[in-house]
Amino acid sequence: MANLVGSRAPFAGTAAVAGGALTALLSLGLDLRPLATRARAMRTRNATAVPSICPYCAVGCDTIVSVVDGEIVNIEGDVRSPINHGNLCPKGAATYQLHVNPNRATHVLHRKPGGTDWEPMDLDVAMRRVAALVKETRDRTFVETTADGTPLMATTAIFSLGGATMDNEWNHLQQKLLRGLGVVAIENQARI
Amino acid sequence: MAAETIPALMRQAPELAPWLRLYQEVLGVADDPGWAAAAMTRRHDLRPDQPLLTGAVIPLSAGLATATLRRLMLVASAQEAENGPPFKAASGAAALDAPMLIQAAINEDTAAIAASAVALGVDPPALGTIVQLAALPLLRACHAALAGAVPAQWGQGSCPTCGAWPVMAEVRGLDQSRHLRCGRCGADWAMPTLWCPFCGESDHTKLGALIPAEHDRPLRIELCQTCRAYIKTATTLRPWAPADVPLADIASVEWDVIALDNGLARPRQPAVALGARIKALP
Repeated sequence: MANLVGSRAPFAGTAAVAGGALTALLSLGLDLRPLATRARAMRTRNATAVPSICPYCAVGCDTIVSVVDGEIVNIEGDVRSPINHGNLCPKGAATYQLHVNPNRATHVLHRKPGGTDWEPMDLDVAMRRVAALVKETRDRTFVETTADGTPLMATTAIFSLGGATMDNEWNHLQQKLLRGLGVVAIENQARI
Repeated sequence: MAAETIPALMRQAPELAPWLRLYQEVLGVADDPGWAAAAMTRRHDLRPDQPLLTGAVIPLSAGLATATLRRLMLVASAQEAENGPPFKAASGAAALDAPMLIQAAINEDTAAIAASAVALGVDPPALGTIVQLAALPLLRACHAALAGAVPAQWGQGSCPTCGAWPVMAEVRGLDQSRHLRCGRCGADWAMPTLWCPFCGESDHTKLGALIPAEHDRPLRIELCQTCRAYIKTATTLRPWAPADVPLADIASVEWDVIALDNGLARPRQPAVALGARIKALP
């Protein structure tokens, strides 16, 4: 903590410059111990602001992500952006809640056939179960050619419905995987 | 706001009272029509990046300048501070050249003020603060007269009217627009996001902020790792009046101490060589 009592050395010569409040007080030779005590009682945190891009749609609105001590505390539109001039749509404005949300499910929940309750399930078990069901359904329903011999290579038994919080990268991988499997019914709420 | 703020600040932080009494005196003399009458001729040959008072010739009543400076010196002499007593004698000294000192304050001419302080037998930093205060009514009158000529896109860190470094920034209104504020003339100009007003740094990895751990304080320090300077930034609903800017600065002076403790400092040198001249009128 700075010793402000009779400590004008760091400010010598700056009073004539419009040096702000502290320089002026020190130049007058005041006893600033109460001020130093109050400042000592104040706690601060380190904050940074990181330019980023809204993850949702192809417009690519610019955002500024505020980070305090390594944690995201706010996401807002970047006024410097020629794309969105600081504005965000309702989805983009809620991006913070995508990252920080106490209601967000953080583990797999599974409801057994005929069951009434959701039960936690191990992620590896869930992934293997999903993969097995997809492969079984795809193999059972895959149509290589139509009746007249035209190549089709598709299944209409699987439908992919994406949600509003799936970002561009996720959507890209999702459609790439599903088209590889022959799924043609792929939908996503990618725009507002 | 200033009239109500000063007594409240004196109660809240008595150690600030000596400066607040001086500022109260400034506000008391600022209504004198002689300041507004100091009609200056605006130069039309300025570059777009030069403050409006660059090379300006400002006619000012020597009597008004001297009376103002004497009043402030007498207030200073009555303070219980180490620099008090010499100012009483200096206020009546023949060597007191108020127009020259106000000119030096406007130009942030440290050497001229220090030389006068020696001649008057007073402390140079204390005289520097007093003459800066004495120059405020004139600078505010100049800004009021020139406000319409301030470029809409100034784009610099220093004041578009008087060339001083800003003392505070406002993040204003619902649109959170950012504005820098001059503690001298009261000018108000737009500040880009993620940009250091002192060195122009715009790399976000070199900019940061110190924010209060308590959420009820609408103020933070925005800092630049490149030049190690900082600006206190307050959230406001509407612009501060010019007279309120120095009060906002003094009311948040704890943050200057915190900045100092974090190795930060305001610039030590003036932003520009203003070269304004006071033409003393009888």
